[in-house]
Amino acid sequence: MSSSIYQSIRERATPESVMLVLMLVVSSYMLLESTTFSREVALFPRFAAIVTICGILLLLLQRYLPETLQAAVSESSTMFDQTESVQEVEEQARTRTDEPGPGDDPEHDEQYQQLLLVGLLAVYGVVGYVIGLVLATPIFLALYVVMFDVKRTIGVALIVVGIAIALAFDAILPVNLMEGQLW
Amino acid sequence: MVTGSLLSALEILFSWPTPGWMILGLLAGILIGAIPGLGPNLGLAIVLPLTIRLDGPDAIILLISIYSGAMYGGSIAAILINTPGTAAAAATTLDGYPMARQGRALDALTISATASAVGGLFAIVTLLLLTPYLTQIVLLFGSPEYFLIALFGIALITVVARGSMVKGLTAGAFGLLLSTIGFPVAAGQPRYTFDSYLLFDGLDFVAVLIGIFAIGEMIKLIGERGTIAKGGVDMSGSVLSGARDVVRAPITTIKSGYIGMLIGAIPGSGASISNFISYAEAVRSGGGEEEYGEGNYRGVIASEASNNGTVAGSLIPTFSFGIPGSGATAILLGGLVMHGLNPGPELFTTNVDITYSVFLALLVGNAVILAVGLLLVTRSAYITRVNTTYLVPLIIVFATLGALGLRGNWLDVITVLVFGIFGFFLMRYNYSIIAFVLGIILGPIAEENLVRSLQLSDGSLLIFVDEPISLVLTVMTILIVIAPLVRAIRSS
Repeated sequence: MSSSIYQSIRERATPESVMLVLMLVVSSYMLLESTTFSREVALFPRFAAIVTICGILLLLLQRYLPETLQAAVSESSTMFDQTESVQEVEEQARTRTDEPGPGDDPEHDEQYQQLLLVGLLAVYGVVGYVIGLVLATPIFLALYVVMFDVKRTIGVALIVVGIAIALAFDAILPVNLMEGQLW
Repeated sequence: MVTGSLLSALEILFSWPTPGWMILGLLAGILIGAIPGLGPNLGLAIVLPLTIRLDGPDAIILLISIYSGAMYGGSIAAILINTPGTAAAAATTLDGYPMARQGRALDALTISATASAVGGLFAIVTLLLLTPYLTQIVLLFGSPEYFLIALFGIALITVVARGSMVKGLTAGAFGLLLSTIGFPVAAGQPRYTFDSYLLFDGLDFVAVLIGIFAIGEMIKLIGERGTIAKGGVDMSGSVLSGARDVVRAPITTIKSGYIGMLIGAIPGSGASISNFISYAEAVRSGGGEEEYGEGNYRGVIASEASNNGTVAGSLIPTFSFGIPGSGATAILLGGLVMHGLNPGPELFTTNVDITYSVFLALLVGNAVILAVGLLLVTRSAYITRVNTTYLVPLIIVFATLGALGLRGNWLDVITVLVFGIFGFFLMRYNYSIIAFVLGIILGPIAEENLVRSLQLSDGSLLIFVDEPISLVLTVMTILIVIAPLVRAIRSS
C-alpha cells in the first residue's frame, strides 16, 4: 500500500508539478498574509493570488477534470495558425548535426549538464556573497572549466577574460564589486 | 512643433558619442543575433546594467540598436547552416538555406540585409508619421483606462503567446503577485518584506529580466553543447544579384515590412510570429508559379523585411502605454524606466525629442545594417562556428555582475539566479515567459491605477465602464479571455 502511494507520488512529481506546487505555496502564503494588510493595500495582491491559485489548481488537477474543461485547460489558444511552424522550426534549430553515439542518452546528459550548471550558479552566488564577486568570478570559471571539460588553453583564456570583465564592471558600475561579507 | 522635435532629435542622434553607441549596438546585435541560442533578449539583458553610466538617450539608442541588429543577425545562421539565430529568422531557413545549398549563400545574405533595411525603413517612416496621432491617443487615457490597458495587455499576451491559455494566465498572475512585494505605490504599508530592508523596494524587474533571459537561456543552452555548424560553410554566390532580387520584388518587401509592423504592435506576438505570417502572405500572393521552400528569394525577403518591421511596431505599445510587445521590448522598457523615462504621455510630450531620436536611430541603423550586411557578409560564416560552451560562463558572469550593479543590492543577485532557474523551467514546460514578465512589469502600474480609479469613484467599479474607451477595453478584455475557452469547449 505504502509502496504504491510512493510509486504514485514519484510518477506524478515531475519537475513541472514541483514548480507548480512551489508556486502554490508562495501564492497561498501571499494570500494569507494579505489578510493582515489594510483593505486598500490588500486588494491587488489578493486578486492576483486568487487568480494564480485558481490557475495552478486547474493545471495540477487537470487530469481529474471533466473532458471539456480538461481540453480548455490544456489546449493551445493561439491567435495565429503559424505558431505550429514556429515550433517545428525552433525544434529543428535545437537539433544538432552530430548524432548521439550508441549507448548515449542525450536527454539524460542534457539534464545532468543543466543540473551541474545550476549547482555552479548556487556556488557562485554564495562564494560571491562571502568574498565578493570579483574574487568569486575566477573561482566560478575555474570550476566551470573543470566540470565541463573545457580545453586547458581555452579554460585559461576564459578565466583571464572573466577577470577582465569583473574588473571592468567594478570600474564602470557605481558599486564596489570587490566587497564581500568577509571584508 | 513636430519639425522642432525632429530637429532636436537629430541633434541628439548626431552628437558624439551617440552615433558611436548606435554603431556599437548594431554590430553587437548582429553578432549576438547570428549565434544561435543567444538572440536579442540575452544581448539586451546583459548590456542593460552597463548602461547605468550613460545618458538616457544614449542608453536607449544603444539598446534599440542591439535589438535591431540582432533581428538582422538571426538570418546569418538561418541561411548558412539552417539554424535560425533567433526565432525571428525561423522562416528565413525555409528558402534561405536551400538558396545557400544551391550555391547562392551570398545572394541570400544580401537579400536578407537589403530586405531588412528596406522593410525596416518603411515601417519606421510610418511610425514617425504616426507619432503625432499616438500622442493624442495616449493623452485620452486616464487612471481607469491605464488599469484596463494593463489588464488587456496581460490578457492579450496569454492568448497570443503559444501554448495553453491557463498556463499563460497563471504565469501572468504570478508575475503580478510577485510585483506586490515591497512598499506599494499607493499606500505606505510594506508587504511580504519579512522586515528585511532588502525587500522594501521589492523585486527589481530588470533583475528578473536578466535572470530569465540570460541565466535561464544559459541553463537551456548548456544542455546543447558544442558548435552549431560542424563543417565548413560554402560562401558562394553574388552580392550584386542578391540586391537585384530585392529590387525586383518591391511589393513583397514593403508589404512584409508593414505586416511585421502591424503584428509587432500586438503585445506578445513579436517577430517569431510575424516572419511566418509574412512568409505565408508571400506564398499566398505569389500565385503558386514560384516554388517556395526550395530557394525562392521572395521567401527570404518576406521573412527578413517583416522581422525588422516588427521592431518599429513593437515600440508603439511599449512607448505609448508601457506594454512591451516582446521580451526584447520588455528589457528596453526596463532601460527606459532605469533612465527616468516613463512610457506614456511624457514620452510624447516633454520627452518627445528623445522618442524621435530613438525612431531616427532605427532609421539610420537600417542603413548601417545594409552597409554592414553588404560589406561584411562574406566574413559571417565564422560566427556560426562559435562554441556555445565557451560563451555560457562569460554570459553568466556578465549577468551576475550586472545584477549587483543595478542597485548594489544582493537581493538582485539572488533574484537573477533564482529567476534564471525558474525561467528555465517556465520555458521548458511552455509557460508564457512574456506573460510572467509582463505581470511583474505591469503590476505596479495596474495597482496604482486601480487604487486611484477606485478612490476617484468612491469604490464603484462602474468607473471601468462609464467612458467609451474604458467600456471598449473592458469588453475586449473579457472577450479575449472568454473566446478561446469557448472555442476549446466547443471543439472538444
